[in-house]
Amino acid sequence: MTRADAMDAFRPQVRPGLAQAQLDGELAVYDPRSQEMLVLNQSAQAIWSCCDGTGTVAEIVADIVAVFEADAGAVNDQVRDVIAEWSRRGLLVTPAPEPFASPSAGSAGQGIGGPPD
Amino acid sequence: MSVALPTPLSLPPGRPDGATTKPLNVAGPDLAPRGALHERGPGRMALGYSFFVTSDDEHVARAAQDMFDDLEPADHPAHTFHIASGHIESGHIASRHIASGHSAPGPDRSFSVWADGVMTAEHVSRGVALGTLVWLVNQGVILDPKRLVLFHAAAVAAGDEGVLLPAPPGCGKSTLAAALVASGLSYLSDEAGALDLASGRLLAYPKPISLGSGAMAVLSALGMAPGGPAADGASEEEEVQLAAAAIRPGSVAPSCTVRSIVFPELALGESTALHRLRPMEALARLVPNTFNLAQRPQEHLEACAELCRRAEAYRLVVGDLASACGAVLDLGRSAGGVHPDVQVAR
Repeated sequence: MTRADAMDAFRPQVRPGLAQAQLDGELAVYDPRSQEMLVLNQSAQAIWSCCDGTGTVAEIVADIVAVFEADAGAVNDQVRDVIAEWSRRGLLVTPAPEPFASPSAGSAGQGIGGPPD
Repeated sequence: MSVALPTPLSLPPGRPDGATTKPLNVAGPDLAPRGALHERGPGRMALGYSFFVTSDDEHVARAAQDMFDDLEPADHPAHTFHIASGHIESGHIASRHIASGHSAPGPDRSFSVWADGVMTAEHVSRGVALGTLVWLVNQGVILDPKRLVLFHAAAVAAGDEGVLLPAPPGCGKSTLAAALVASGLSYLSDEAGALDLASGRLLAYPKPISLGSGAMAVLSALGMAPGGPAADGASEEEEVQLAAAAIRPGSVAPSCTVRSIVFPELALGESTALHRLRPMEALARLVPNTFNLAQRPQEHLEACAELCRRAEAYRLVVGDLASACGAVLDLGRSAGGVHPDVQVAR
């Protein structure tokens, strides 16, 4: 599996334990582990809200293209870049596998392109 | 799309002698300093942290008492600090009782500082010993768990309307706070702004104001230099620990609402200017200046966001102390606040 394939299959989930607060249409996300804060504008929030562990990155791209009626190529690159960056920062994990699920379902708590959570 | 704030959480400033923050771990009952203890006045309490200071040097005990005179009395203090006079003898502190209580620091005279029976500094001058004492109290106040969000900030108030001045060390918070108190504002802290989660009010932590010799010189040039009781024994290299009452008697306010958040940025020689910040810009600057956000992340972040939503926030370029002081005073006077990017020329 290539890295691009792995990204396509990745089902990103916002890591539990992050603090979030809305302020004037933007979302502040604070990571108590790194003690860093991100500010997400509305389009970033749309991607962030999709990271619930149910959809793959490819599906998230499709959703964002549909919602924003934007160029698919540009959205594809931007969404992947943002998710890779959040993952690198340890803000995203893969959802924990269902009980009795196949081990190939993925290792819980492991992000793509970032350090183990 | 996303803005990262790489600045790590601010830590309390370093000990005045630049030494490690870890105790030296040489304490023990046998090494504890002996001698007559001068216990001056009651214990003191700040933001729920209570302590008591003793010394075998009456002059030091008096200075310590004066420094913390703005804090509330505490009947049963939980922590004890001791400043012992002595000299190094065979690798340990030998206590030396000074009968007269009047002794100047000298090459053969040194002090050790003890916190709850643990020696945290040894063979230091009187000024460094007092500075270490203030630093230890700061640590205790800041690290003691409580339902407060603690900002690395100075805080002053005009009536009930407070100005929070968050900034990392070295940005002139203490100097600006001292100048503002001298100019008539009330003092809450030069180090830690404490937001009470229950009431939403900013609580006072009126520790002594820590001023370097450079700051004292600037304040003196502006006619704001006070003569503090703790200032007389400090050398030029040491910080002066000055009670707010020494700057202006009765200047401490117990609490206030936060009307303005002002982020000072030292830029000596440039024009002093206030720049209005959007609430999220203020939050992005406030978060790195918190002490305990990670303790209760969601609750504290929401409290910080609410604070930034309801208070006016500004970036203050500090070209010089007098004009910066004037800019903050103008904020206090102006009911409508200052318009964005107003240049304050003085």
